[in-house]
Amino acid sequence: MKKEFIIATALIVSIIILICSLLEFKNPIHVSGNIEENYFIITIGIDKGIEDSKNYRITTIAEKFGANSSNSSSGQSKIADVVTIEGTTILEAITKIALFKDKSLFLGHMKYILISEDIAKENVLDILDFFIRNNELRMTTTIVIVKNTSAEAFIRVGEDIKIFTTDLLDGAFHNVGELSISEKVKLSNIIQTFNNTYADVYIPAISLFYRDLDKVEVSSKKESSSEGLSGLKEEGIVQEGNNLEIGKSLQKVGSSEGSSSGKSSSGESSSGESSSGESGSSKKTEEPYINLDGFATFKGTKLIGYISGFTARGLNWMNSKVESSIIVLKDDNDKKISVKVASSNSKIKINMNGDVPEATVKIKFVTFVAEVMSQEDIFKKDKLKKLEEQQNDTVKKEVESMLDYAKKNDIDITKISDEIYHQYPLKWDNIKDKWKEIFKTMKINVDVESNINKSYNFIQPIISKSGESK
Amino acid sequence: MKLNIIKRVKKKEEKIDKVPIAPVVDTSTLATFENLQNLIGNSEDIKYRDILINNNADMVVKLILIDGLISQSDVSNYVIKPLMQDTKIKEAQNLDEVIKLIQDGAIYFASQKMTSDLDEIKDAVMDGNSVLLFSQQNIAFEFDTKGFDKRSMMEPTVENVTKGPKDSFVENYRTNTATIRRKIRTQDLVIENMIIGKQTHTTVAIVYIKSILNDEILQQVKDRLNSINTDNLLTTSVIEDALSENIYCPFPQVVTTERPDKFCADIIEGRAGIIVSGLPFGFVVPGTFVQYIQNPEDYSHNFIVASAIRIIRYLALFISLLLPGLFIAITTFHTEMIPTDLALFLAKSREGVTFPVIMETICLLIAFEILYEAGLRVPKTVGQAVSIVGTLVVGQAAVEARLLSPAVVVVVAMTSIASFTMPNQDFNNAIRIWRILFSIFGAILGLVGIISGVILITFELCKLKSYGVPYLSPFVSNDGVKILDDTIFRIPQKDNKIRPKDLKVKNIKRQGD
Repeated sequence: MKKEFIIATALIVSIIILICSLLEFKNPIHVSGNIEENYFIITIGIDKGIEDSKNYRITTIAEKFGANSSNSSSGQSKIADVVTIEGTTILEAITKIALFKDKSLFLGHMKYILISEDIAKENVLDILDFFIRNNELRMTTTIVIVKNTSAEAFIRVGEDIKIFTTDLLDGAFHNVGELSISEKVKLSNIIQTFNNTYADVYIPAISLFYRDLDKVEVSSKKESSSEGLSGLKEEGIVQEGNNLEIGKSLQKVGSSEGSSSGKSSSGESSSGESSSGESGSSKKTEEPYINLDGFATFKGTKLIGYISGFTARGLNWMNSKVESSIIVLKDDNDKKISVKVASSNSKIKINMNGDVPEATVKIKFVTFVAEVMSQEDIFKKDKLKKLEEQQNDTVKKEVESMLDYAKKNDIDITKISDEIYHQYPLKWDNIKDKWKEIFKTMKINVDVESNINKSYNFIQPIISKSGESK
Repeated sequence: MKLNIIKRVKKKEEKIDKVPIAPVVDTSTLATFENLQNLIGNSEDIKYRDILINNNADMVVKLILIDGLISQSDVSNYVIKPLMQDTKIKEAQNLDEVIKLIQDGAIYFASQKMTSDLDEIKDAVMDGNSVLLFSQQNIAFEFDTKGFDKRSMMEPTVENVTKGPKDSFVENYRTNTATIRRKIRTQDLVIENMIIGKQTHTTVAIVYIKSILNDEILQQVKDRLNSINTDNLLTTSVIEDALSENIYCPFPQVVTTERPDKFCADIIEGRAGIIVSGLPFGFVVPGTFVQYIQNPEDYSHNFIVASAIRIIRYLALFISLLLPGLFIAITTFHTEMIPTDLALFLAKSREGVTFPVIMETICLLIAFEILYEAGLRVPKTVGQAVSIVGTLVVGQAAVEARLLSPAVVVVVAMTSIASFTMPNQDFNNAIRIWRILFSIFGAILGLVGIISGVILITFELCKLKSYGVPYLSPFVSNDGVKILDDTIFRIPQKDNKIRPKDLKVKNIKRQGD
């Protein structure tokens, strides 16, 4: 009897629960509904408000689903749903988006947070607080500083070229390791660095360029540094034969105010096909493309400058973040030889002379010969040795240029403070309060070792025999 | 004078009083024709025939048989013919001599038995034996002349293997015991009979190897079989319910197999087997969890291959049990856990679907069960039509009508295919029930619900014992002994030296002295 009673009770309770769940009875634990009821924000851009500069202007991008979207073939491109809203805080602006959507906002799949440099100059941590506090957001979200345009214009560039902007960003970061002049920095890394009183943050910077399709030749400009917006300078090294002219020769987008002025302030959403021509400098004959342009460096919570090109690569050398890269060397006849980095590693060794630290950065890397624009046989021991010394010098200069920048601007983006703390924790306690002064004058040696490896690549270049008498 | 007469009468009365009265003999239990006929009755198929030995009217014996159960040629050639034509029987003067001659083998029939127990004679007739009844002497001879139509041994229908024996149990009890005897030829093999079922009088045999099987397990099996007090034993559930520890647990505790090789292997391992007349199955106890995941074919392949297949089977078990529940939990409560591209794809594929995920999944699981049942019962001629309808309706039309989303169809299809890898159907049935429960848990509490369900099922299985052997042995209570021998991995035969310790067998060594 007792068993029957228990079984009957269990059955009745189970049926009630089943009916409730089938009828979508509001369960107090139930937070989100079915997956299709979520509005997945993939990328978010944050600019200063237009109506009120104290406000924040949020631009979000999500993928638009139709009722028959599952029947669409995989070959069809995605349709972007771009929304721009202004609010007094980030949360208010994002919440306002919900008023125009029939789905629940979901930030759990946000891939990128684009911050315009105007906002970053003031206080980047104020903006990031919402994202850090939000329990839906993943800590692997990538933060990017948009360099020469507004985040909104950057996001809307995809509308012009009918490409999902997030895909552009994915593509850029996917291949960032090829040249290693930038790096994907996650929200969790930034939080960690901000929590460290003595280290400073660097965030990858991205810029938008337009290429004039009317021009056949691309104009080249040899100046290495250019005046950025709002008086910020960008530092980069130009070496003969090592000039990474990515994007520098092309026409830049106008100011951030100009590019976003076309959008009304709040409450307006647009789908992918509409709203062309917002960007003041985009023309029909111009092809936009994006460029991962080094790093934006911060002092505390404020953006102070950028490092790009080889200087940015120097930072990656120091942090063991160089996956691959190209170093252009010269042979005895001044002909170019490209070597590709196969692997690299770096360590920071600290020596304490009393309370004065001295750091030695030991960088080891391996390259292989990928291209020989010469007909000389360089695959001899002494010549290879010379090339190795050349590449060592190149890398050393890059790292030293980055260190000079850091010292000049009084920012520790190198994490040497961390190393001192780990290697000499007691001595660190004595010097940590004076770290900023110590870092400026601290001796940092850069010691580079490399090998040119992969001997199966040692193929003699083809020598032209035309004109030789038989 | 008068006084003398009175005295004489009194004396006579006294004499009459003193004469002892003969005791009344109960003749209803004697082995006579009348008693037997009263017991058996006069059904149309029960035949009674008088046989005059030597054409002597004084030497009449009754031949009693049931038409349809006996072999007519055996009875004619080996029972009646010798009675009529044997030279020695011709010389017999009376029935007592005939009885003596039959005892000495005058009727050349291998299986004959003399009895005077009426019940035994009745059982012999009902079993399909033919009986020669000597009514006056209250003696009968039983001859095993069974000759009814029986199914011949065929390939197993469910437990198929590509490399291994292809014989299976049949309904005929003797054929089954003969098959077992052919595989296990040791003198220690014991087959003990009992009759169960008030109406069916079904023969049930306990098969074991007396030098291996634990006596406690044997006694428990006997006690449980003796406790069966039922009218009939026509289905497996009667035996399974009696032999199971906990009938309220959906997981089977008795291994039911149609393969003699699996049955014999389990007996040799130290378990008890039960054969039931009329059922083409063997039952093995105690049943443990690992037995339901193992397939006899594992022992026909190389041990590395067999181990890989077993790992796949365990993986399929988890997929079959947890995949629908996990899908519901993750898409409803934990969307951030899945990769972004997959989340967007799932959201896109569910756009416009009317029903919530839980309802879709459970309805599709139930629809699959309906299709499965229909497939079992549908005639073979229309079987193809049912499968086409199922494919078209579920796979195509329902998805295009936005009643279902493609992702749910894929999940349920994968679950179903994974469930078909289970070698034992009873175990698979338990998984089917728990699968739906997990779907409900996932819908209500997400991953917390799934984990709660896993804890619940683990608790239930850990608690379960079968004849003193833990259901999850050797994963539990192994006393530090290696647990992976012949469980998840199949070790080489040369290393499989001892029998499972939990069975507490008399002889633990399989190999060596």
